[in-house]
Amino acid sequence: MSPPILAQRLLLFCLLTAASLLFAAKSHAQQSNAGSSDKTTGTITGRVINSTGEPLAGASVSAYQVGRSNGRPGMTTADNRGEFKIDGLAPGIYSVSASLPGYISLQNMFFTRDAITYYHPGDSLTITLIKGAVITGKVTGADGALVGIGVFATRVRDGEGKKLVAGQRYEKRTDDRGVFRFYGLAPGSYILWAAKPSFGTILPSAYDNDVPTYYPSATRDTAAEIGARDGDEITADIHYWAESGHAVSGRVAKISNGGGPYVNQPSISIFNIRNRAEIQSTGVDESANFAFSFYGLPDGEYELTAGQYLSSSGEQLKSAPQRVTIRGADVTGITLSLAQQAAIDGQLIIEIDPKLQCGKRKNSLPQETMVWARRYEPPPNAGETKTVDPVSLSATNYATFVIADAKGSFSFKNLPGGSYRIDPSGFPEGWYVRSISKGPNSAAANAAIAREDVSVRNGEHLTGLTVTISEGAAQLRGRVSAGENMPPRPVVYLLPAEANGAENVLRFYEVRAEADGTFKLNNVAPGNYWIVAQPFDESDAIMPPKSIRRDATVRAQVLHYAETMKKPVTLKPCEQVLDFNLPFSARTP
Amino acid sequence: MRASPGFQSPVFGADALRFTVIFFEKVGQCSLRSGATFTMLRRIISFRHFSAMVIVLCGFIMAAAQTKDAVQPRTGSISGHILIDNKAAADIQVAALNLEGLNRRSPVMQTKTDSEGYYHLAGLPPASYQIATFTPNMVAAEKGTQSPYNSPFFATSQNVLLAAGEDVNDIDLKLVRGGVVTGRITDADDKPIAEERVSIQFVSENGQPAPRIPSQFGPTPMTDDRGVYRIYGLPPGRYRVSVGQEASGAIGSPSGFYVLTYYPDATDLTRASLIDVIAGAEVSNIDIKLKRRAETRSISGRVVDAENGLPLSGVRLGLQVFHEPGRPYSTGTSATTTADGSFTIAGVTSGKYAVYIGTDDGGSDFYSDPVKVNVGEEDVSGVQINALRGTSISGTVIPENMELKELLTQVPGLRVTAHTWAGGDGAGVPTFYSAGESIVRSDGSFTIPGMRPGRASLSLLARDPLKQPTIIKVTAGGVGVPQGLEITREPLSGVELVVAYGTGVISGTVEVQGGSLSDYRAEVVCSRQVGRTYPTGSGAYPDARGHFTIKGVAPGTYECRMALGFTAPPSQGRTVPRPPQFPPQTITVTNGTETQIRFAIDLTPKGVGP
Repeated sequence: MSPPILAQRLLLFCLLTAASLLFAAKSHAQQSNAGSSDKTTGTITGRVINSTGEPLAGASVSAYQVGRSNGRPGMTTADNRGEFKIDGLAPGIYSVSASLPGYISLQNMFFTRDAITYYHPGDSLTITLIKGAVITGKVTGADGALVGIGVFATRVRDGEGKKLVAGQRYEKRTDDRGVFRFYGLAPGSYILWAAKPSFGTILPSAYDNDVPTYYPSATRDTAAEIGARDGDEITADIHYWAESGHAVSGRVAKISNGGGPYVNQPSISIFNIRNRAEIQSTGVDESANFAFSFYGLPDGEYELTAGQYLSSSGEQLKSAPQRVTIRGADVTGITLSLAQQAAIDGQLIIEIDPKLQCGKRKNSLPQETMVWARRYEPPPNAGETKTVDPVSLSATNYATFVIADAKGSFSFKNLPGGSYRIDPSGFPEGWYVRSISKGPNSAAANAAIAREDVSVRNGEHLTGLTVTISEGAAQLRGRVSAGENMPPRPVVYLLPAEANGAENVLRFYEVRAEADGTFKLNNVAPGNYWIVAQPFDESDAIMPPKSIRRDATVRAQVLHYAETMKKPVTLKPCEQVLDFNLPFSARTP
Repeated sequence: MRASPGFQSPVFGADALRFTVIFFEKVGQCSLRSGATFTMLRRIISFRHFSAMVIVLCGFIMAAAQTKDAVQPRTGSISGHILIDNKAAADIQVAALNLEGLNRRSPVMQTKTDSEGYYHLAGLPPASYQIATFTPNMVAAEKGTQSPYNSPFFATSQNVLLAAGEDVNDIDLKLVRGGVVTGRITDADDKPIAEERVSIQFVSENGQPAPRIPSQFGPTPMTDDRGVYRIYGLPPGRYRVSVGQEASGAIGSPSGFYVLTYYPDATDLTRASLIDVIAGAEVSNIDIKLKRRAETRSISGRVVDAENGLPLSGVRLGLQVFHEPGRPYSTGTSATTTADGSFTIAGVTSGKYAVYIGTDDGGSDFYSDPVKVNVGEEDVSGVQINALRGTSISGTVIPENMELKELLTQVPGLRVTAHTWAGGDGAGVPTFYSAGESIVRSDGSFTIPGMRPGRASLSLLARDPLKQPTIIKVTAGGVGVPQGLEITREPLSGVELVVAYGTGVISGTVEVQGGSLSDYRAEVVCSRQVGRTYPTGSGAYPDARGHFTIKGVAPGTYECRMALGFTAPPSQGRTVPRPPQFPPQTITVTNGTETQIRFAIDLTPKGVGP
């Protein structure tokens, strides 16, 4: 029997869908010749324990080389003593994580968008997994239990009650009794809702046109939060009411035909403007002029963006964000036009000082340096802003990093147009950032580029950024000793004490002290500094904490304070100060 | 149909189904991280599974139609009754899924049955519809529906090809509640085993395992944090439940694996207890206690460039099992070489394996010959793999009776894909695949790099799944290659693909007398002889009323046949006679026109008088 062409078409559709999901997998398989890379490999070892310090045998541990799309994950399992060893790791920086069903890693929770916890080959670490909470319940409708409906949970507050932005979304499906069960949940508060399953989105469900019903039987605004602590088991039943929502539809324009073998379909995301959470994502209908539609949306304000990844070039085309308001009717006729985003190319320059010899791992330095580009949403009353391109809600606070190749070249692709702060970090001991410049390395340009931002527009490709890393960095370790009214985990600042030193923001350093008051500042340029400790400024969920390098006001205030406190420290090239004592004294108004 | 000279007769086994389920799972989760998964996906399109895939997918979705009418067509309606346990079922959600729109996430027309179990779906534009209920815990009450596998997301369905302004009545669905099997999986210390896959296998009356029935749409049943699993929506019958992996010839976790154990505690298939599932009933306490994890071994070695001996990093390895007859053939690995070219494939059970550079996903410029490795009680190290650069296939696409520009305008983003395979001699040697593709450039040329030598097959892939041209002739160096291409290490150039594309329609009806086709799966297949040996054709399944339509047919003379295949799963305890054969009909198709055919089938038993 010949396979019918119509079934083939369906198959082709499936394959196209799969292909559009597969670019990531594909990049893993790209070969690269190791002729030019370092042949030495290293090992990361460690232990996985529970909250009482007992070993967790059987936990899966993986180490991913960050910033390398074709890096292979090193994977292993903790033995009966909870110990693990991952070897064969190329020079670079790694993110290490452990997992065990029902458990949650505390370490993972410290992962934020603009910082990662990383390790090098040769490091040893302890990973603590805590027993996660369980939320279970039943979804019922007017006619009894709902079978096969999607149930979603998202963490809206952390264990200390601090509000979180658009956290991870977990999804389960009810069984034939309408029962669902989430487990391994991190401590915090959750909101829960029942809606069409998103899992297997190509298939319709009975709930496609409905708005979600939030626990207990509410809208998003009246949803009850469910607090969950370690190991809790909480029952939360949802009473579903089937209420039709509205549709938002349109088309995607300026789609690229690619040039490479795989043409990835564009995808479209819709965000809730109020909480910045992505609500749904969908694809286009290639047979109907690249039309798309979302269904089952309640009244409210939304933002839509379209994107298309081109596997041939690694480019990610994006549309400008488009805002829509749903008020009791469908919204149609939206056009999202794809366009190139911005790019920045640069070069790491490594300045070796043969007299010093304290810079570690010189050969792998380029592969260990993360060059970050960060942009932040201007404060609400900032007045004039440099934003020239409209920016999606998902990119208003945006941070990304690249890792240079063995020759020190790096390039940022797919940056949403805007102003970026360039900030290298992650390099080994003995090295510090001496300058960041654009074009000729003049002192003025250097200071400006480090202090201000690099602006790029969508479609623009900026080249010639130079990051100079020099040998001879000092290290300062010590402890903030308890003074009167010492706040938990204050921030230790190191500020230039030379006249006109304030011009060079690269010489401002900050680190948050550990719970026992100890602190460690690595990669510090030699020179004269003021040192001072300040309470940590709890910022709200949307705005990231203000950094001293980023915020001129913070810089001026802290510097002024430090100058009055007059606690100096002088660091000679390669010097290691290991037991600095910094008495905490409350700021006098 | 597309040119597939290496096309094999349908392989319809547990493997194919498993791949289908994996496929849907992965698409659903959007989590295609590992090379192993990718390999499996690519294997789906390999010819070995192609036909089986098609059949399985057709279980979900039948015929699809194509063109859009410029004028707003008159709408029609479809109505019928929903019966559960032979009683009218009220308040059941019934949907008309537009089979064209299913791919397009179009809104679903849906309604609820009234107190008599009656539904009426009105305002339907002419199209091919699937009438289904959203009741994943229900199964079909009787066989012979068009959804033989009780497609896992809709318990049962009927297809209706609706003409403009037509009102179709009596499209009834008869359902029963599926059975439930639930239990708990624990280890030797009575601790729950979380996130372990549970397999359920339908066993036919004669004790033969049947292809697994995906009972719920979604992932394979897994235990939760308490070790509890629950499988629902099972068609009545006998089942076997198991957990764990085969003790040899498999790849698992580096931390060891649970040896395949059947309910209640049997590692031997013959000692597995069969579980009787009846409609609407729950069978609980199907608990399995597993022994301690068995240890696994690792295979390690190095990949070097055969030309210069330099180590190659980032090369993904493939691993296949040399199988004894009757054993599943394949396994996967995500192992990739590190900076110094070394690799470790961990979690391997004892057995005979072939290690090679994985080319199945088309992601590698290199390939290698397989290196045979015997894994016993010890880790295996020092395996050296010599990497060879893949070859390329290049040529030109030549449209039949059409300008190239016109074809590329009508079918934007047209690509040529290639698959090669080598090995697979039937004596336990695995088959090694490679895949690649190239866009068709504006001058009609294409170049597909990175191919493994072997037998090759080319096909076309259009961005729009509803606009797929057909290869009708392949020549290499001016010589026709109806039996398929042989690819050597030398690049192959000058391949010419003659391509047909058209807008003709073949439609008609199948009328059955003197019996029922419920034991068979009917399909109308129309094929066209091009030259002498290169048949090209397409087919469609008749709907609930015996109507069918085939769209997007290239002009030419076609021979249309009514083909019957067996429905699955195997019927319980009954022997189904071989399907009867019917003579073909010859028709001519032109662009933009509709050609009608009628098949009258008489199933009256011969030689048995009234």
